[in-house]
Amino acid sequence: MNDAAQAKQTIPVIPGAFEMEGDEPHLIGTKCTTCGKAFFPPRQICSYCLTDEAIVKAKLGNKGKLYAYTVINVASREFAPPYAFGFVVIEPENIRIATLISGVLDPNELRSGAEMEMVIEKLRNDKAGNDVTTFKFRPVAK
Amino acid sequence: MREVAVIGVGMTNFGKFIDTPLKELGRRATWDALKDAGMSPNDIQIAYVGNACASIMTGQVMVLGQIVLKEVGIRNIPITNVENACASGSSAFREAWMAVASGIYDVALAVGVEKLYAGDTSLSTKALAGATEVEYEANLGLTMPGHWALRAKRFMEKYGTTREQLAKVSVKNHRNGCLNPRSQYKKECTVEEVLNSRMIADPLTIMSCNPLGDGAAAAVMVSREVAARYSTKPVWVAASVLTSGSYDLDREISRNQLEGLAGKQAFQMAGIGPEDLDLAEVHDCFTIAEFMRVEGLGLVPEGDYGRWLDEGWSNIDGKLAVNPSGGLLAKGHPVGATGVAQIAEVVWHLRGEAGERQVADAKAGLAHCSGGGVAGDTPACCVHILKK
Repeated sequence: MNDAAQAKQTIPVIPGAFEMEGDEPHLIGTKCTTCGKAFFPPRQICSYCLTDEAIVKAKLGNKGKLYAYTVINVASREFAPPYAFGFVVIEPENIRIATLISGVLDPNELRSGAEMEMVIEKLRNDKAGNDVTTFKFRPVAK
Repeated sequence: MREVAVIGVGMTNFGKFIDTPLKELGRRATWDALKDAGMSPNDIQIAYVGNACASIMTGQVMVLGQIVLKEVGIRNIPITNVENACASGSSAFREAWMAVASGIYDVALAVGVEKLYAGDTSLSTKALAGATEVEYEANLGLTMPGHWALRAKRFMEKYGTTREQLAKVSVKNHRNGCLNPRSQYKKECTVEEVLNSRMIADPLTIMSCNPLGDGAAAAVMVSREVAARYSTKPVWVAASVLTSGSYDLDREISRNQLEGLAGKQAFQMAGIGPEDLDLAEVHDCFTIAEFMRVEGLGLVPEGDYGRWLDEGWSNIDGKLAVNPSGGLLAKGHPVGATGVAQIAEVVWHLRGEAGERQVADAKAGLAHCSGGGVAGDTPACCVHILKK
């Protein structure tokens, strides 16, 4: 085994869910070039035009507005509650994304409509010690 | 399409039965349903068995239905295992109904069975999170209580519904559960107790969520000709509807459009309206779910269910008894068993056999189950209307 294979890696919890453009992360979805609808997670057939011919990979917006959020206190085995979770409507695509919410642990701190921005954070270590990362959304600092 | 009658139902107690195997729960409910129908295992021509969580909870990934039914002596017939999250049991019931309604079979069995309690809440939570899109939502940490908490937040914001009004669903259903000998919980509670119990996912406290538990239920369905031979008190399946979500990412999630669609189809098929119902067993996996679903199904005007609860209109002696069994919140929710147990409850009311919780002179009842939460939408919604 060479050194590169032994080095700890950074592994996204959802493969291919985001890409970095410099320091800026973007969600990777698809977009239908016929009707303009965007999809995340990416769909390979447009749900509205019902064709695969006009679908393209798309870098989606990394900002949006909070739709609803909660704090989860009882979780599946892999997770360490409490943590905030919500829906954010990303712009300009205007689609609702399920996402962890960063920087908040009070269920009444934010209001729907709050301005949010995407960040990449470590979620946990996997069994091999690699960093498992994810996208999250956090309130934009005023 | 032929008329189909339910002539036998059975149900175990719901509760935490850590030492009772899945197949034993399923056997008891099925045997009771056969006895109730006056039938032998040899009379069953086809069977559908609903289960959702055995793959994670017990490791029984496949052929659960065959394992349950071998214990009853049901062999050498077509058996199909059905999974549709919380609507697994009702979807199994619908498959059995289709088998008879189509004219291909005269006697069909539907079973729902589940073991969801293992003394490890994080394992049960993981199993239930399997009703989201696992490679996306569950991988990010969304749980089913989390999904419903988000819908509740949105609903409360839109309609001005208070936490106290949400809690009243749990108070009502716990009161009803006290009258049901098969209920997991038989203890009344107050609004304050519901609100002050442990927070699971804001605004849903533990007493706003259905408990983890085990159980099974079964139903025997037959053609009119067979019903005439076996039963003096057949209950007719007036409507059976199953549909699935649209997953629009720009859809408002405070409304249950899917229930609206399924409810409309079911009432059309039954030829009756919501005003003709005497009771409704509605999928109250969380307090907010009863709100959204009675309104979504068209049983209660949009935004009005808070008032219904304040006025007691959904009590057993109200305008429309909602969850007289105690619902999922008190009776319990062994996921795959629930849909068939709801059918059993409606059948008992229509026969006048529901004991202390009997809805007076019940002639028509609705059973509703919805399964899963994906993209803020519902993957499976199943509605049945039964008539005397």
